[in-house]
Amino acid sequence: MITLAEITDVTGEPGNFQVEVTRRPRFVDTEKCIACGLCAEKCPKKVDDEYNEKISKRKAVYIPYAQAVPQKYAIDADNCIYLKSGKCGACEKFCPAGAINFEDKPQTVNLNVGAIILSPGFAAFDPTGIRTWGYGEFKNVITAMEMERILSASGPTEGHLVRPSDKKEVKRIAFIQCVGSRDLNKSRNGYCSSVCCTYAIKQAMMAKDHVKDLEASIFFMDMRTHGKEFERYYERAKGLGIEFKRCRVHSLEPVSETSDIYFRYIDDCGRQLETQYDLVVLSVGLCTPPSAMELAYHAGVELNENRFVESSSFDPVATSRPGVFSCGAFSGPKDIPQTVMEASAAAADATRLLAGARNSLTRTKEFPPEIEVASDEVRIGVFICHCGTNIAGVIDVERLARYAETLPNVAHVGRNLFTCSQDTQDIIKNAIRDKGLNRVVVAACTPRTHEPLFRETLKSAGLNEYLFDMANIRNQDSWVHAAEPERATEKAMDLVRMSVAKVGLLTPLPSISVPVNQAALVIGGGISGMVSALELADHGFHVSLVEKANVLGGQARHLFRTWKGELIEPALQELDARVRSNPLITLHLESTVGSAEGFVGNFKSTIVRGKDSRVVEHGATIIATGGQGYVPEGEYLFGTSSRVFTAIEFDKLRMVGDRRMKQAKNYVFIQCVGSRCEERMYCSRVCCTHSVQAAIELKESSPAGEVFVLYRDMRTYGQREELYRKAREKGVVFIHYEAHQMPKVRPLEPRRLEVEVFDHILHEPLRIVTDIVVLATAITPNAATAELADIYKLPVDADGFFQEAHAKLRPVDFAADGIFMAGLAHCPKPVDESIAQAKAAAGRAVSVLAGSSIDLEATKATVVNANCDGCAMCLDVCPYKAISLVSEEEAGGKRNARVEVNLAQCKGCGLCQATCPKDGIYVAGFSLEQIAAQVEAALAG
Amino acid sequence: MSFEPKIIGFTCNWCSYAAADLAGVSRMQYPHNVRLVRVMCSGMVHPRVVSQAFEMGADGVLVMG
Amino acid sequence: MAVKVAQEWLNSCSGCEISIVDMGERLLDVLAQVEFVHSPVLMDHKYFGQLGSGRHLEIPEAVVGLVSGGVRNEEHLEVLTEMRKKCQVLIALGTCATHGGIPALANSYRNDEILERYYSTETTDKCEEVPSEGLPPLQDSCTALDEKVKVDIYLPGCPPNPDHVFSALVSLLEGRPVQLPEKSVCDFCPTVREGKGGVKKLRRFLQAPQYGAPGEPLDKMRCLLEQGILCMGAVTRAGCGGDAKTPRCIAARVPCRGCTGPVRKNGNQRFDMLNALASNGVDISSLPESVSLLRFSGAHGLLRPSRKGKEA
Repeated sequence: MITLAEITDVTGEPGNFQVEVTRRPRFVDTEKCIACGLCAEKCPKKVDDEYNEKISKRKAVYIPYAQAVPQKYAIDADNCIYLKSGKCGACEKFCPAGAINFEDKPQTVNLNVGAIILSPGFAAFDPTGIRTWGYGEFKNVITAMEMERILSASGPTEGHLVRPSDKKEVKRIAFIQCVGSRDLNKSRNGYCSSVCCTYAIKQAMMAKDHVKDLEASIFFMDMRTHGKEFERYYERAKGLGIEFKRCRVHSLEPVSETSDIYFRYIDDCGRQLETQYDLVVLSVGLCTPPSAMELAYHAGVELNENRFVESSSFDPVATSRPGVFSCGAFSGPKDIPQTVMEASAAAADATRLLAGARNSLTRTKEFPPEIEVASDEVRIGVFICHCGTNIAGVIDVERLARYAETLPNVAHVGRNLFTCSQDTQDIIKNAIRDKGLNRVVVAACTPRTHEPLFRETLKSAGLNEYLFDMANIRNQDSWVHAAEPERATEKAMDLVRMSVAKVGLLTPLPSISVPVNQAALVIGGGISGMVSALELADHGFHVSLVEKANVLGGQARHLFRTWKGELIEPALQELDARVRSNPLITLHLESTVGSAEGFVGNFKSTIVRGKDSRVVEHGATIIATGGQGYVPEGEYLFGTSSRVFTAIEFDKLRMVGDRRMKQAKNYVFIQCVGSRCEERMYCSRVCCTHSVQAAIELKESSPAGEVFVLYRDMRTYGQREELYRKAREKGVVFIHYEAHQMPKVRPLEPRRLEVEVFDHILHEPLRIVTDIVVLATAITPNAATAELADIYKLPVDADGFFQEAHAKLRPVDFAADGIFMAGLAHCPKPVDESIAQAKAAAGRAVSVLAGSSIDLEATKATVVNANCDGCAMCLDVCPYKAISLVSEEEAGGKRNARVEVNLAQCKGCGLCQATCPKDGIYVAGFSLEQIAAQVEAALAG
Repeated sequence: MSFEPKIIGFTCNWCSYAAADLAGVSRMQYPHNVRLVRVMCSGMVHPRVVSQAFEMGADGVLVMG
Repeated sequence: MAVKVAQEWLNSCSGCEISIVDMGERLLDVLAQVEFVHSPVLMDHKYFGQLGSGRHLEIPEAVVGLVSGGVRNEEHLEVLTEMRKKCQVLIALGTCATHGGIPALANSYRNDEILERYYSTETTDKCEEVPSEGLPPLQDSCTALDEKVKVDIYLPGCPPNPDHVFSALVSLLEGRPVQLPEKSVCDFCPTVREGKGGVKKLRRFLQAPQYGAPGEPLDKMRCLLEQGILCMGAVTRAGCGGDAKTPRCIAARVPCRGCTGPVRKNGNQRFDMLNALASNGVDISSLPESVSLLRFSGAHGLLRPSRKGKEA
């Protein structure tokens, strides 16, 4: 990892790039820095904290934020007194590790790489100086980024919702949407930033959590909650009393004596209203920062007129330069799940280029054979870390060491300045050997960062790595009780006693490794499935591709163009040809998966074709079974009138040149048919863009015809917004309707229809005479979803789509290892996003298939055969479906049932152990006995 | 003498235990009365252990996760 | 030489004694080797001498003492203490002796509440006052034997299966350790188990469980708990079925009521059952109450009068 780095030049070609990187000086040696924070404590220079949006201060030597990686300090050269005037140097004097290096100089690093991924992210739009909102001028107008910090428990106000001017608790708050988005007057950004509607709802809901009787209003144009589960979130916000006001706010004024913000707006009934708010939050949009534009320039990548990376819908993470990929907001505004999908997709595309070199530069470490300790008496070594002065400055470590010596089974106690340093590892190793230690306790910082290091030390001393425990006397003691050294020392004694009590009960655990069958199964031969299969085959893995129809292509066969205007059919044909000609892909048409067993690395699935069935063995599974169009039976005369179509039918009929389409003059599109309603409380994401795009084409081919789009919220998110603007320019008429006033369609004279909709501007029903009505119908899960959920024991969400492992951070993975999803089976999405997810799923699968075996943590559920009688209480409790019931017949004919744990599927969460009424199952290393021993020890003091 | 309760906290390695670490990194100061037991998921804590903690003299038990 | 056996019943219904007799012809084998020196249910042996002349309660010495019933009043305690003194090996016979049994359900109430309800409420015959003479004073609660004296062998069951009474006695006579089932009722339950995740609410056992034809073997029937019927099998010690193995209630397609007490000696049937149900996502508020999950094992302080009992 190279931090503080900038790319200054890229030459070469895919597979062989020369990258020149300029590394700015950190002035802190990351090898030596232990992140104790003494430097920042002693540094006299206070600087506005950018992470807290300058609401609070930091020092000139700092860690940008608590989760920063690496957790190492850096000196801000623009503000450091020593670097500017040569005086001070307090940090250098006080640093216990000697990590400060004022001589650090910029360095140029030259790298030779095969592929490049650009993910510089975005900058929030800066509304400073724009008179309308008064940001920078009125203290109580803040940006959403500032609001984010104010709401954060670790932020400058510790999560108290107070306003900047007078620190008064906020009682009335307004959010203004589309600040720096969808706006070519006050900003250069015509596009929609895609994420602000949902984040404003989130902030309003969090704010309501903080202040009970808070009145929160969101002023918006279109509420764009098009993401998975977002519509339900929107509904929940409405239920909580958050007010949504559909209007633009033309200006804000301060109320001088109170610093409140005075608001004048016109509501959707045309009434002019006035009100005041304590605090106004500007929902600022996303844009590309100058530094990212520079990066694009150096990397030789073209940006479009919105200053985002230009990419093809069919190759969504590629850039204009082969071998250079981009992901995240660099290629357009998007939310976290989409960003994470693109990240995995870019990784997949990059590793595809590098597939030939896979595993060629990896090294493995050798360890001595393990010493048998099971039957020996317990001999515990306790190593107490001073952590410079971080621990020893508060806790009386000498007293702690003397105390540790008195604890049962403790054979050795050592103290170290830095227990994590390399020489201390040798000290620990020697102590294990010389004193015959068979359990080790390190009293230091947190096992979350340092357990792996010490486990490795145990391994290299020939001791099983699980015979180890850490007492967290820094993060959870000396640092949080700094003013109470006596109490902190007592707590440290308790913590060491707890660890000693636990470690004595630990037993060696075997290392677990499962072999991997380096082949994949892709279920679903639509565009997502084909892309996944090709990506995997291009990585060199064998793929079985299962499709239930007799052709490939899925729903994409019915689509005309992507939102960028690319024709879908030729792209589909090319994919089809590549899949069929790829020697590594075995195609199973007219086939389905009938049953499956196994787990990550070792699946066995039965592929059924008519009466034949065959078993395929594979290490990873990708489910891309797609979705289907909602059939609006009986709605808006669908099925009765020959002039009412679904959007897909409309595309198809236009493609084949249907007579009705040729003769028609007027068209009405009705949005949200089957979406955003009680039965399907989700947005189908693609329909607004599709209708707008179709409307433009109709207008372009016959400008005299009239085209109406009846919508609830126009959700042309991201750069799709340009289509919406273009459609309005072309004269397409957009009429908003509310869910409680749905449009009505009536048959008129032969071949004509009348659509009635309540017009909010005219305040009266409007009747439109039209030739064709197009219904923008919902995307629904298809039947295969439920079937496969059953076969592979996978979760589905409330809407019937597959449930990902984590809505934000793991949008492609299932909770079960080795199974991934792509496309409409996950949720409604357009072609480009399906392809990104398909590539991501392939990339995630490659991470499983790349090695011939997978090493697993040994912290697993373990069945106690003497106690378990197979009552099956734990079966359905396991979230990973790792527990199964087995039974065998005894000699006397008695059936002995018990449960069995699949180690590859078990994650060691222990829900089974907390359920079992008879101690029949426990998690190795965290058994109830071991936990109770810690509790007992904690209370023994 | 003022009452000094003994509190046992069962904390999940992935969230609340990490949060307690972060409280340290942020140097938040809090009363010394709590002793945290790290578990891999708060769901692995059998209610029996909670009642045992009370029987052994805990004044309060926190299960966080 | 015959081994001397003393038998006593405390807060007992005599079901356990019947269970001894219920060994059938095997009883003859046992009787050939043992001599009952004291057994109020069978023999007219007086505590204070045959003519009532003794000053102290006296029970003859014996090798094996069989005690059924829990300890409810001071007389029970006195008899139990004497049994412990005179017997080398003390067996707690039946769930009342091991875990308090049905009478320990009364532990949910204070003694004055119980007496008031028994003697003064309109549901009972009128009685002017609670009798005070000739009755041994009640203890604060109904306890199991091991809360008062050391118990060597536990033979739970309501009543214990005669097969286990027989095998326990034979083992003792032959100097072998007594072996009883140690797992739960499920260990011997032949019904089909697939997981409890499908159960959302529990229903009262008013309708028969689902199964095929009347003669269909039990191993074709789905687990009763998985059918949504509260079955205590998973938290109840096995053994009710004796050598026949199949749990007695299950054999009649009736859910286990928990009569052999908890699986682990110190287990808590109510706690373990509610926890396991809640873990499985079963709405435990669908149970009208949960005290009765301890209907056989309310001793050892597991059932206590509620604190607001006074006002109620």
